[in-house]
Amino acid sequence: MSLRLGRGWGVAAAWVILILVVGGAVFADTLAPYDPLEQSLRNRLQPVSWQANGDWRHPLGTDQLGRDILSRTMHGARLSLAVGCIAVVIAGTLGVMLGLVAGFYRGVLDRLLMRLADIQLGMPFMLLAVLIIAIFGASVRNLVVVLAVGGWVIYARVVRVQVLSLRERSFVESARALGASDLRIVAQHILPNVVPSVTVLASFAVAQNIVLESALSFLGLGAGPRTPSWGGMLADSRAYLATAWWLAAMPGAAIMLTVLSINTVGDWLRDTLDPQLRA
Amino acid sequence: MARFALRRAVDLVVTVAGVMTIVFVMLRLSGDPLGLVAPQDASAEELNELRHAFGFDQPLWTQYAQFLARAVQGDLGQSLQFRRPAVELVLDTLPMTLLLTAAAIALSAAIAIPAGTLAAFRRGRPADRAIMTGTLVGQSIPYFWLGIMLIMLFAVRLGWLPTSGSGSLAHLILPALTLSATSMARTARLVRAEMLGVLRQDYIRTALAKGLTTRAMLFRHALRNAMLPAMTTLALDTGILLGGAVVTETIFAWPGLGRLIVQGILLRDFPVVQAGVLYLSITFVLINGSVDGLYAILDPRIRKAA
Repeated sequence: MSLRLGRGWGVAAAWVILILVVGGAVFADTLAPYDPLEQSLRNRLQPVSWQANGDWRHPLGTDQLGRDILSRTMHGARLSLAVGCIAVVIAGTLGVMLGLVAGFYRGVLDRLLMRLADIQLGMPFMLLAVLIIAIFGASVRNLVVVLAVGGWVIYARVVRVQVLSLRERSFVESARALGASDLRIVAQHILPNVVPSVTVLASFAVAQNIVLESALSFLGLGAGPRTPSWGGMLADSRAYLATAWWLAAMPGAAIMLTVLSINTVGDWLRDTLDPQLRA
Repeated sequence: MARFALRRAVDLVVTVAGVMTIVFVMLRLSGDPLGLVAPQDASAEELNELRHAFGFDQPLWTQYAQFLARAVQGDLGQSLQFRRPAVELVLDTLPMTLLLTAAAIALSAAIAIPAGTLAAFRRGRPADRAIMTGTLVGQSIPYFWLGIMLIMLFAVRLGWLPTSGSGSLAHLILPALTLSATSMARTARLVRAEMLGVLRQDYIRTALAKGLTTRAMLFRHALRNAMLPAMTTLALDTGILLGGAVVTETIFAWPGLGRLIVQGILLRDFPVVQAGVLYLSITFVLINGSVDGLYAILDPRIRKAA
């Protein structure tokens, strides 16, 4: 219980951080102090502002090309959040639809889908991602495709299991007795009951996608060098570990704070909406 | 038991075949595969010749059958970069990846199980809170960032450990720690939760009442019952770690299969990528399969259920 006590504050802090990150990302064009791509070799590798020789014009310092780290981090947030969320929407829609169909109609389609899910899970996700990017090339669109392809299974599985039990419930039977069509039963009576679980899964998936997107960008398999990304910034930072710690620290801290906040909010959502998912 | 083993074996074969199909379909989806093997200035006639030589003029299902037949014989083409059979390259690097993954899982178990046990035993006390905070951080920290920060601290600043490469035990420490962080945090949380459940049981009270020391109670009675779920996550993590090795190996220049695959992509060396993905997936499937088998031996209930 002692862990519970600080919980309210933790969730509130997570919301605040999340709003700041999302706000910074959405309004990066107006809020960011500099163009994230603007180079200024005279100002290269300036330390963070609170260090002795820091400068408040670049609160989080500058990188090896004199680009402003704060601005780059904000624009990186835009990429990570956009890619993460769009992929979740696509994967969620696909997964929920397949899960509904598989659970409601059972039969061959169900077995086929679940076998496909097994096969996909039989391959570490990172490998699937790397394979897809290797073939179709590295781009923002392909990042979304990769994350969506990797993400649908979890929704399909959870929804399917829920539908299997929901379809036997009496309210579904009543609806059927009243002559409701399959589509109406699924849309009106079953779908609303799976929404809480899907919401919770989706919130955790956004955090997971952000980490995966950063990892792929870090490997050079994400958006190109013209698009500021947290993973790309981390990759660049490796040559300056001895001289400029902030290059690696800032984008990494941004990823961690964002992921931690989303997970905290996700935990809270789960306990509020769908305690059963705890297991 | 024999029936159980047979079922698992069939599952393994189906999954591996599925992975191979995915790899094949994806490579064909990418357009004319001829572009990958033909020289840029090839004439239309030469292209046709090549197409025939590689069998790309055959119907798709024939190509698929040929691909499967060759793959089963261990022939996945030549590396375009190294001019060696792709499978050879893969088999050269796979042991290093397995070593790294095994070290990470061992490290995860060695730290997470005692930490989780301690946290449960000291529930609500500072030790518990410190461990739980640590696990929260461990679960949220992106492992590749952790790797970079570890290099910065232990290799660059303190100079205790090498920044990258391989060849000694010291080279293994940072990559293994990086790779294991998430799994360690998750496992510690799980062990704590399981132990909290077990410690409430009557047989624990009985054990203490008959005069067993706390240590004997914890390790001989409590931990044993909390171990199966812990093993489940650790086993599932092995697969995730095999995928994570792709990134970790790149950070630490660890000469494993993951790094080979990433290099293969950057150099557009598709046969190597294909062979690497296939072998890593097969390893993953085999590990998961043997873990399932191990459960069946450890817990007779699973055997019956199957």
